[in-house]
Amino acid sequence: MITDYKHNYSSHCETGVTSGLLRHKGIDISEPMAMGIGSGIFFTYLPFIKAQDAPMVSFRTAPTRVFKLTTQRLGVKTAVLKKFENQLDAMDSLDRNIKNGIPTGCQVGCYHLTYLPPPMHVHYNFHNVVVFGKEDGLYHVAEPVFEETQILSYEDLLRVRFAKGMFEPKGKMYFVESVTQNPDMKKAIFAGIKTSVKNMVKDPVPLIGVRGMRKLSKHMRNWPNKLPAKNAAFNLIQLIRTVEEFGTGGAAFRYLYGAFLKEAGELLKNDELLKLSFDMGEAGNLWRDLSIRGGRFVKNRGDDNYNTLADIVLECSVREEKIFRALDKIVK
Amino acid sequence: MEETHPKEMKPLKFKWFNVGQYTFEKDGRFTNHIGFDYIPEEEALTDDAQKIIDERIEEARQKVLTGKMSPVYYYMEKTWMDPITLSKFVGLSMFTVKRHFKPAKFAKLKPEIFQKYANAFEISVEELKNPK
Repeated sequence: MITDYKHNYSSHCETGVTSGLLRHKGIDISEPMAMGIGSGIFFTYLPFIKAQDAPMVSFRTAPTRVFKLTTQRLGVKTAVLKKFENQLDAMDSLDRNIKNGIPTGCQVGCYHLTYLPPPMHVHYNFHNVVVFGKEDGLYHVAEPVFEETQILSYEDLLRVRFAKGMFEPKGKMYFVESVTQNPDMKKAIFAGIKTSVKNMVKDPVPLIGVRGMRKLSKHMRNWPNKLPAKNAAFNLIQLIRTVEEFGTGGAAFRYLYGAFLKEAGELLKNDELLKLSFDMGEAGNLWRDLSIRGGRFVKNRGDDNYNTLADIVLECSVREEKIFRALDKIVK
Repeated sequence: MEETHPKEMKPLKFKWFNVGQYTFEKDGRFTNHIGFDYIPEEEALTDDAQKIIDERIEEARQKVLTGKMSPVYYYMEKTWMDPITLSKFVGLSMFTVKRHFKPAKFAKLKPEIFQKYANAFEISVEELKNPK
Protein backbone atom coordinates (compact mmCIF):
# COMPACT_ATOMS: atom_id res chain seq x y z
CA MET A 1 0.00 0.00 0.00
CA ILE A 2 1.42 3.33 -1.03
CA THR A 3 -0.25 6.52 0.13
CA ASP A 4 -0.51 9.51 -2.20
CA TYR A 5 2.06 11.53 -0.26
CA LYS A 6 3.69 14.13 -2.49
CA HIS A 7 7.39 14.39 -1.86
CA ASN A 8 9.09 17.77 -2.04
CA TYR A 9 12.74 18.20 -1.27
CA SER A 10 13.61 20.57 1.53
CA SER A 11 16.72 21.83 3.26
CA HIS A 12 16.17 20.73 6.79
CA CYS A 13 14.80 17.35 7.75
CA GLU A 14 12.28 18.31 10.40
CA THR A 15 10.78 21.42 8.81
CA GLY A 16 10.55 19.46 5.57
CA VAL A 17 8.69 16.61 7.24
CA THR A 18 6.38 19.02 9.07
CA SER A 19 5.47 20.97 5.97
CA GLY A 20 5.10 17.77 3.94
CA LEU A 21 2.73 16.14 6.44
CA LEU A 22 0.63 19.32 6.74
CA ARG A 23 0.44 19.80 2.98
CA HIS A 24 -0.73 16.22 2.63
CA LYS A 25 -3.72 17.22 4.78
CA GLY A 26 -4.42 20.36 2.76
CA ILE A 27 -2.81 23.07 4.89
CA ASP A 28 -0.37 24.89 2.64
CA ILE A 29 2.58 25.59 4.92
CA SER A 30 5.94 26.13 3.25
CA GLU A 31 9.20 24.94 4.75
CA PRO A 32 10.31 28.40 5.97
CA MET A 33 6.88 28.92 7.53
CA ALA A 34 7.20 25.66 9.48
CA MET A 35 10.65 26.81 10.57
CA GLY A 36 9.31 30.09 11.92
CA ILE A 37 6.07 28.93 13.51
CA GLY A 38 7.84 25.96 15.07
CA SER A 39 10.63 28.23 16.40
CA GLY A 40 13.31 26.13 14.72
CA ILE A 41 16.12 28.69 14.96
CA PHE A 42 18.45 28.01 17.82
CA PHE A 43 22.04 27.99 18.90
CA THR A 44 23.78 26.03 21.57
CA TYR A 45 27.41 25.34 22.25
CA LEU A 46 28.15 22.45 24.57
CA PRO A 47 31.91 22.15 25.08
CA PHE A 48 31.55 19.27 27.55
CA ILE A 49 29.73 16.95 25.11
CA LYS A 50 32.21 15.72 22.55
CA ALA A 51 31.33 13.86 19.40
CA GLN A 52 34.47 12.33 17.89
CA ASP A 53 36.49 14.72 20.07
CA ALA A 54 34.92 17.90 18.70
CA PRO A 55 32.72 20.02 21.01
CA MET A 56 29.04 19.88 20.17
CA VAL A 57 27.54 22.89 18.40
CA SER A 58 23.88 22.62 17.55
CA PHE A 59 21.77 24.98 15.48
CA ARG A 60 18.53 23.10 15.96
CA THR A 61 16.06 22.46 18.74
CA ALA A 62 15.23 19.07 20.22
CA PRO A 63 13.79 16.50 17.77
CA THR A 64 10.03 16.72 17.00
CA ARG A 65 9.84 20.06 18.82
CA VAL A 66 9.32 21.94 15.55
CA PHE A 67 6.59 19.50 14.53
CA LYS A 68 4.83 19.76 17.90
CA LEU A 69 4.96 23.55 18.12
CA THR A 70 3.93 24.16 14.50
CA THR A 71 0.92 21.86 14.67
CA GLN A 72 -0.10 23.13 18.10
CA ARG A 73 -0.06 26.74 16.93
CA LEU A 74 -2.02 25.92 13.79
CA GLY A 75 -4.65 24.01 15.76
CA VAL A 76 -3.83 20.67 14.19
CA LYS A 77 -4.43 17.50 16.14
CA THR A 78 -1.41 15.20 16.02
CA ALA A 79 -0.10 12.11 17.70
CA VAL A 80 3.49 11.60 18.77
CA LEU A 81 4.16 8.03 19.82
CA LYS A 82 7.41 7.43 21.59
CA LYS A 83 7.00 4.74 24.19
CA PHE A 84 7.16 1.34 22.59
CA GLU A 85 7.40 -1.79 24.66
CA ASN A 86 9.43 -3.55 22.02
CA GLN A 87 10.77 -3.02 18.55
CA LEU A 88 8.24 -5.21 16.76
CA ASP A 89 5.45 -3.19 18.37
CA ALA A 90 6.91 -0.02 16.85
CA MET A 91 7.06 -1.55 13.38
CA ASP A 92 3.52 -2.96 13.73
CA SER A 93 2.06 0.42 14.58
CA LEU A 94 3.90 1.94 11.61
CA ASP A 95 2.48 -0.78 9.35
CA ARG A 96 -1.01 -0.12 10.70
CA ASN A 97 -0.63 3.57 9.93
CA ILE A 98 0.44 2.93 6.36
CA LYS A 99 -2.43 0.49 5.89
CA ASN A 100 -4.79 3.27 6.96
CA GLY A 101 -3.16 5.61 4.46
CA ILE A 102 -1.44 7.89 6.95
CA PRO A 103 2.09 8.98 5.98
CA THR A 104 4.12 8.88 9.17
CA GLY A 105 7.20 10.77 10.29
CA CYS A 106 9.91 8.79 12.03
CA GLN A 107 12.95 9.90 13.98
CA VAL A 108 15.93 7.86 12.80
CA GLY A 109 19.67 7.56 13.26
CA CYS A 110 22.02 8.23 10.36
CA TYR A 111 24.68 5.59 10.96
CA HIS A 112 22.91 2.65 9.34
CA LEU A 113 20.82 4.66 6.87
CA THR A 114 21.89 2.78 3.76
CA TYR A 115 21.07 5.33 1.08
CA LEU A 116 23.21 8.12 2.57
CA PRO A 117 26.71 8.51 1.14
CA PRO A 118 29.51 7.14 3.36
CA PRO A 119 30.71 10.46 4.84
CA MET A 120 27.25 11.03 6.29
CA HIS A 121 27.26 7.75 8.25
CA VAL A 122 27.75 9.47 11.57
CA HIS A 123 26.19 8.60 14.90
CA TYR A 124 23.61 11.35 14.64
CA ASN A 125 20.15 10.41 15.84
CA PHE A 126 18.10 13.54 15.16
CA HIS A 127 17.23 12.82 11.56
CA ASN A 128 13.60 12.70 10.40
CA VAL A 129 12.02 10.93 7.44
CA VAL A 130 8.49 10.27 6.23
CA VAL A 131 7.50 6.65 5.63
CA PHE A 132 4.64 6.73 3.15
CA GLY A 133 4.30 3.26 1.72
CA LYS A 134 5.06 -0.42 1.98
CA GLU A 135 5.30 -2.77 -0.96
CA ASP A 136 6.66 -6.32 -1.02
CA GLY A 137 8.28 -5.86 2.37
CA LEU A 138 10.12 -2.72 1.26
CA TYR A 139 9.31 0.63 2.82
CA HIS A 140 9.03 3.74 0.70
CA VAL A 141 10.75 6.60 2.45
CA ALA A 142 10.54 10.29 1.56
CA GLU A 143 13.96 11.55 2.54
CA PRO A 144 13.38 15.29 3.03
CA VAL A 145 16.77 16.47 1.86
CA PHE A 146 16.91 14.32 -1.30
CA GLU A 147 15.14 14.93 -4.56
CA GLU A 148 14.00 11.34 -5.05
CA THR A 149 12.22 9.05 -2.65
CA GLN A 150 14.16 6.09 -1.34
CA ILE A 151 13.41 2.52 -0.32
CA LEU A 152 14.46 0.69 2.83
CA SER A 153 14.08 -2.94 3.86
CA TYR A 154 12.27 -3.94 7.05
CA GLU A 155 15.51 -4.75 8.88
CA ASP A 156 17.19 -1.51 7.86
CA LEU A 157 14.26 0.62 8.94
CA LEU A 158 14.01 -1.21 12.26
CA ARG A 159 17.68 -0.67 12.81
CA VAL A 160 17.66 3.08 12.15
CA ARG A 161 14.52 3.61 14.20
CA PHE A 162 16.21 1.98 17.16
CA ALA A 163 19.65 3.43 16.52
CA LYS A 164 21.88 3.61 19.56
CA GLY A 165 24.13 6.34 20.86
CA MET A 166 23.48 9.79 22.24
CA PHE A 167 19.79 10.87 22.22
CA GLU A 168 18.34 7.57 21.00
CA PRO A 169 15.19 7.85 18.85
CA LYS A 170 13.65 4.71 20.45
CA GLY A 171 11.21 4.27 17.58
CA LYS A 172 9.58 7.68 17.92
CA MET A 173 6.94 8.31 15.25
CA TYR A 174 4.40 11.05 14.64
CA PHE A 175 1.54 11.85 12.31
CA VAL A 176 -1.32 14.28 11.74
CA GLU A 177 -4.72 13.09 12.92
CA SER A 178 -7.13 15.87 12.00
CA VAL A 179 -6.84 19.48 10.86
CA THR A 180 -8.81 22.71 11.12
CA GLN A 181 -8.76 24.68 7.87
CA ASN A 182 -7.87 28.37 7.73
CA PRO A 183 -5.88 28.73 10.95
CA ASP A 184 -5.08 32.14 12.48
CA MET A 185 -1.72 32.78 10.84
CA LYS A 186 -0.90 36.03 12.62
CA LYS A 187 -1.28 34.49 16.04
CA ALA A 188 0.77 31.44 15.04
CA ILE A 189 3.59 33.51 13.51
CA PHE A 190 3.84 35.83 16.50
CA ALA A 191 3.84 32.90 18.92
CA GLY A 192 6.65 31.33 16.89
CA ILE A 193 8.73 34.50 16.90
CA LYS A 194 8.18 34.96 20.63
CA THR A 195 9.63 31.56 21.46
CA SER A 196 12.57 32.14 19.12
CA VAL A 197 13.33 35.48 20.81
CA LYS A 198 13.22 33.75 24.16
CA ASN A 199 15.62 31.05 22.95
CA MET A 200 18.07 33.38 21.27
CA VAL A 201 18.38 36.40 23.57
CA LYS A 202 16.54 35.75 26.81
CA ASP A 203 17.71 32.32 27.90
CA PRO A 204 19.41 32.39 31.30
CA VAL A 205 21.88 29.64 30.37
CA PRO A 206 25.01 31.30 28.93
CA LEU A 207 25.57 28.48 26.42
CA ILE A 208 22.30 29.05 24.56
CA GLY A 209 21.49 31.74 22.01
CA VAL A 210 23.71 34.74 21.29
CA ARG A 211 25.55 34.29 24.57
CA GLY A 212 26.48 30.80 23.44
CA MET A 213 27.95 32.29 20.25
CA ARG A 214 30.08 34.62 22.33
CA LYS A 215 31.26 31.71 24.43
CA LEU A 216 32.15 29.80 21.28
CA SER A 217 34.04 32.79 19.89
CA LYS A 218 35.96 33.13 23.16
CA HIS A 219 36.86 29.45 23.22
CA MET A 220 37.81 29.49 19.53
CA ARG A 221 40.61 31.96 20.18
CA ASN A 222 42.10 29.47 22.62
CA TRP A 223 41.95 26.41 20.38
CA PRO A 224 45.42 26.83 18.83
CA ASN A 225 47.01 27.37 22.27
CA LYS A 226 45.22 24.64 24.15
CA LEU A 227 44.93 21.87 21.59
CA PRO A 228 47.28 20.13 19.16
CA ALA A 229 47.05 21.65 15.67
CA LYS A 230 45.19 18.66 14.26
CA ASN A 231 42.48 18.73 16.93
CA ALA A 232 41.97 22.48 16.58
CA ALA A 233 41.57 22.09 12.82
CA PHE A 234 39.13 19.22 13.35
CA ASN A 235 37.02 21.34 15.71
CA LEU A 236 36.85 24.07 13.08
CA ILE A 237 36.03 21.61 10.30
CA GLN A 238 33.19 20.10 12.29
CA LEU A 239 31.84 23.58 13.13
CA ILE A 240 31.81 24.57 9.47
CA ARG A 241 30.25 21.28 8.41
CA THR A 242 27.53 21.80 10.99
CA VAL A 243 26.91 25.28 9.63
CA GLU A 244 26.72 24.29 5.97
CA GLU A 245 26.57 20.59 5.24
CA PHE A 246 24.41 18.79 7.77
CA GLY A 247 21.06 19.81 6.31
CA THR A 248 20.74 23.39 7.49
CA GLY A 249 19.79 24.89 4.15
CA GLY A 250 23.01 26.87 4.22
CA ALA A 251 24.41 29.34 6.73
CA ALA A 252 23.08 27.60 9.83
CA PHE A 253 19.32 28.10 9.12
CA ARG A 254 19.76 31.88 8.86
CA TYR A 255 18.64 31.93 5.22
CA LEU A 256 15.73 29.68 6.08
CA TYR A 257 14.68 31.96 8.91
CA GLY A 258 15.14 35.02 6.73
CA ALA A 259 12.86 33.43 4.16
CA PHE A 260 10.29 32.92 6.92
CA LEU A 261 10.48 36.57 8.00
CA LYS A 262 10.01 37.65 4.40
CA GLU A 263 7.03 35.36 3.87
CA ALA A 264 5.50 36.47 7.17
CA GLY A 265 6.08 40.13 6.32
CA GLU A 266 4.34 39.75 2.97
CA LEU A 267 1.46 37.81 4.49
CA LEU A 268 0.86 40.25 7.35
CA LYS A 269 1.87 43.34 5.30
CA ASN A 270 4.45 44.26 7.93
CA ASP A 271 7.36 46.33 6.59
CA GLU A 272 9.45 45.90 9.70
CA LEU A 273 9.48 42.12 9.27
CA LEU A 274 10.57 42.58 5.65
CA LYS A 275 13.43 44.82 6.76
CA LEU A 276 14.48 42.31 9.40
CA SER A 277 14.39 39.50 6.83
CA PHE A 278 17.03 41.42 4.89
CA ASP A 279 19.13 41.80 8.04
CA MET A 280 18.77 38.08 8.70
CA GLY A 281 20.00 37.37 5.18
CA GLU A 282 23.04 39.52 5.86
CA ALA A 283 23.68 37.62 9.08
CA GLY A 284 23.46 34.45 6.99
CA ASN A 285 26.03 35.87 4.61
CA LEU A 286 28.31 36.40 7.58
CA TRP A 287 27.99 32.76 8.62
CA ARG A 288 28.71 31.76 5.05
CA ASP A 289 31.77 34.00 5.16
CA LEU A 290 32.91 32.03 8.17
CA SER A 291 32.57 28.74 6.29
CA ILE A 292 34.36 29.96 3.17
CA ARG A 293 37.21 31.73 4.97
CA GLY A 294 37.48 28.97 7.56
CA GLY A 295 37.58 26.36 4.81
CA ARG A 296 40.41 28.21 3.07
CA PHE A 297 42.25 28.52 6.36
CA VAL A 298 42.03 24.75 6.95
CA LYS A 299 43.47 24.22 3.48
CA ASN A 300 46.33 26.62 4.26
CA ARG A 301 45.13 29.32 1.90
CA GLY A 302 44.15 32.89 2.68
CA ASP A 303 45.46 34.97 5.58
CA ASP A 304 42.97 34.12 8.31
CA ASN A 305 43.60 32.69 11.73
CA TYR A 306 41.48 31.54 14.65
CA ASN A 307 41.26 35.10 15.96
CA THR A 308 39.76 36.58 12.79
CA LEU A 309 37.37 33.64 12.49
CA ALA A 310 36.30 34.12 16.12
CA ASP A 311 35.67 37.79 15.28
CA ILE A 312 33.16 36.71 12.63
CA VAL A 313 31.26 34.58 15.17
CA LEU A 314 31.25 37.53 17.57
CA GLU A 315 29.95 39.84 14.85
CA CYS A 316 27.20 37.30 14.09
CA SER A 317 26.13 37.32 17.73
CA VAL A 318 25.98 41.13 17.79
CA ARG A 319 23.88 41.33 14.62
CA GLU A 320 21.54 38.56 15.65
CA GLU A 321 21.01 40.10 19.04
CA LYS A 322 19.91 43.32 17.29
CA ILE A 323 17.53 41.40 15.03
CA PHE A 324 15.91 39.44 17.83
CA ARG A 325 15.58 42.50 20.09
CA ALA A 326 13.79 44.24 17.22
CA LEU A 327 11.56 41.20 16.72
CA ASP A 328 10.79 41.25 20.42
CA LYS A 329 9.38 44.77 20.06
CA ILE A 330 7.23 43.78 17.07
CA VAL A 331 5.55 40.80 18.72
CA LYS A 332 4.98 42.48 22.08
CA MET B 1 8.29 0.20 -9.27
CA GLU B 2 11.43 -1.73 -10.10
CA GLU B 3 12.81 -3.83 -7.31
CA THR B 4 16.28 -2.82 -6.30
CA HIS B 5 17.96 -3.47 -3.03
CA PRO B 6 18.61 -0.18 -1.22
CA LYS B 7 22.32 -0.95 -1.05
CA GLU B 8 22.57 -0.91 -4.85
CA MET B 9 20.90 2.43 -5.42
CA LYS B 10 22.08 4.55 -8.29
CA PRO B 11 24.95 6.90 -7.49
CA LEU B 12 24.25 10.47 -6.47
CA LYS B 13 24.67 13.30 -8.91
CA PHE B 14 27.13 15.21 -6.77
CA LYS B 15 30.24 13.79 -5.27
CA TRP B 16 28.91 13.50 -1.74
CA PHE B 17 25.29 14.45 -1.55
CA ASN B 18 22.71 16.58 -3.16
CA VAL B 19 20.57 18.55 -0.75
CA GLY B 20 18.25 21.54 -0.75
CA GLN B 21 20.05 24.83 -0.25
CA TYR B 22 18.76 28.35 0.24
CA THR B 23 20.50 31.39 -1.21
CA PHE B 24 20.15 35.02 -0.33
CA GLU B 25 20.01 37.13 -3.47
CA LYS B 26 21.25 40.70 -3.53
CA ASP B 27 17.73 42.12 -3.92
CA GLY B 28 16.59 40.49 -0.68
CA ARG B 29 14.90 37.40 -2.12
CA PHE B 30 15.53 33.92 -0.76
CA THR B 31 15.59 31.17 -3.33
CA ASN B 32 15.66 27.44 -2.83
CA HIS B 33 17.39 25.02 -5.14
CA ILE B 34 18.90 21.59 -4.98
CA GLY B 35 22.65 21.32 -5.03
CA PHE B 36 25.68 21.77 -2.91
CA ASP B 37 27.40 24.85 -4.15
CA TYR B 38 28.15 27.26 -1.35
CA ILE B 39 31.74 26.46 -2.09
CA PRO B 40 33.48 24.84 -5.09
CA GLU B 41 33.41 21.07 -4.73
CA GLU B 42 37.16 20.69 -4.35
CA GLU B 43 37.11 23.16 -1.47
CA ALA B 44 34.48 21.31 0.58
CA LEU B 45 35.71 20.05 3.91
CA THR B 46 34.28 16.54 3.80
CA ASP B 47 37.57 15.12 2.55
CA ASP B 48 39.61 16.94 5.19
CA ALA B 49 37.44 15.60 7.98
CA GLN B 50 37.73 12.12 6.52
CA LYS B 51 41.50 12.47 6.31
CA ILE B 52 41.87 13.55 9.93
CA ILE B 53 39.61 10.73 11.10
CA ASP B 54 41.59 8.21 9.02
CA GLU B 55 44.84 9.45 10.53
CA ARG B 56 43.34 9.14 13.95
CA ILE B 57 42.26 5.56 13.26
CA GLU B 58 45.77 4.69 12.08
CA GLU B 59 47.23 6.30 15.21
CA ALA B 60 44.87 4.25 17.37
CA ARG B 61 45.90 1.08 15.53
CA GLN B 62 49.56 1.78 16.20
CA LYS B 63 48.81 2.37 19.88
CA VAL B 64 47.05 -0.98 20.09
CA LEU B 65 49.84 -2.84 18.27
CA THR B 66 52.45 -1.36 20.61
CA GLY B 67 50.35 -2.32 23.63
CA LYS B 68 49.52 1.18 24.86
CA MET B 69 45.78 0.88 24.34
CA SER B 70 43.29 -1.95 24.19
CA PRO B 71 41.51 -2.98 20.94
CA VAL B 72 38.30 -1.38 22.24
CA TYR B 73 39.88 2.01 21.66
CA TYR B 74 40.87 1.15 18.08
CA TYR B 75 37.46 -0.22 17.15
CA MET B 76 35.78 2.78 18.75
CA GLU B 77 37.72 5.13 16.47
CA LYS B 78 37.17 2.86 13.49
CA THR B 79 33.38 2.90 13.84
CA TRP B 80 33.35 6.71 14.32
CA MET B 81 32.17 6.48 17.90
CA ASP B 82 33.19 8.30 21.04
CA PRO B 83 33.14 7.05 24.65
CA ILE B 84 29.58 8.32 25.28
CA THR B 85 28.15 6.69 22.15
CA LEU B 86 30.01 3.45 22.81
CA SER B 87 28.78 3.36 26.40
CA LYS B 88 25.19 3.53 25.09
CA PHE B 89 25.89 0.73 22.60
CA VAL B 90 27.25 -1.68 25.22
CA GLY B 91 25.06 -0.52 28.10
CA LEU B 92 27.90 0.31 30.47
CA SER B 93 28.84 3.65 31.99
CA MET B 94 31.23 5.94 30.14
CA PHE B 95 33.84 5.61 32.86
CA THR B 96 33.77 1.82 32.68
CA VAL B 97 34.22 2.00 28.94
CA LYS B 98 37.16 4.37 29.33
CA ARG B 99 38.70 1.99 31.86
CA HIS B 100 38.54 -0.78 29.28
CA PHE B 101 40.88 1.24 27.03
CA LYS B 102 43.70 0.00 29.29
CA PRO B 103 45.13 -3.30 27.97
CA ALA B 104 45.51 -4.78 31.46
CA LYS B 105 41.83 -4.18 32.29
CA PHE B 106 40.75 -5.40 28.87
CA ALA B 107 42.54 -8.73 29.28
CA LYS B 108 40.60 -9.51 32.46
CA LEU B 109 37.11 -8.87 31.07
CA LYS B 110 34.32 -11.45 31.34
CA PRO B 111 33.22 -13.29 28.16
CA GLU B 112 29.79 -11.60 28.16
CA ILE B 113 31.39 -8.15 28.15
CA PHE B 114 33.55 -9.23 25.21
CA GLN B 115 30.38 -10.31 23.46
CA LYS B 116 28.76 -6.92 24.14
CA TYR B 117 31.68 -5.08 22.57
CA ALA B 118 31.76 -7.47 19.63
CA ASN B 119 28.05 -6.84 19.02
CA ALA B 120 28.52 -3.10 19.20
CA PHE B 121 31.32 -3.15 16.62
CA GLU B 122 29.61 -5.86 14.54
CA ILE B 123 32.61 -8.18 14.61
CA SER B 124 33.38 -11.55 16.18
CA VAL B 125 35.00 -11.89 19.59
CA GLU B 126 38.09 -13.34 17.89
CA GLU B 127 38.48 -10.21 15.80
CA LEU B 128 37.93 -8.02 18.83
CA LYS B 129 40.76 -9.71 20.70
CA ASN B 130 43.19 -9.74 17.77
CA PRO B 131 42.85 -6.59 15.66
CA LYS B 132 44.87 -6.45 12.49
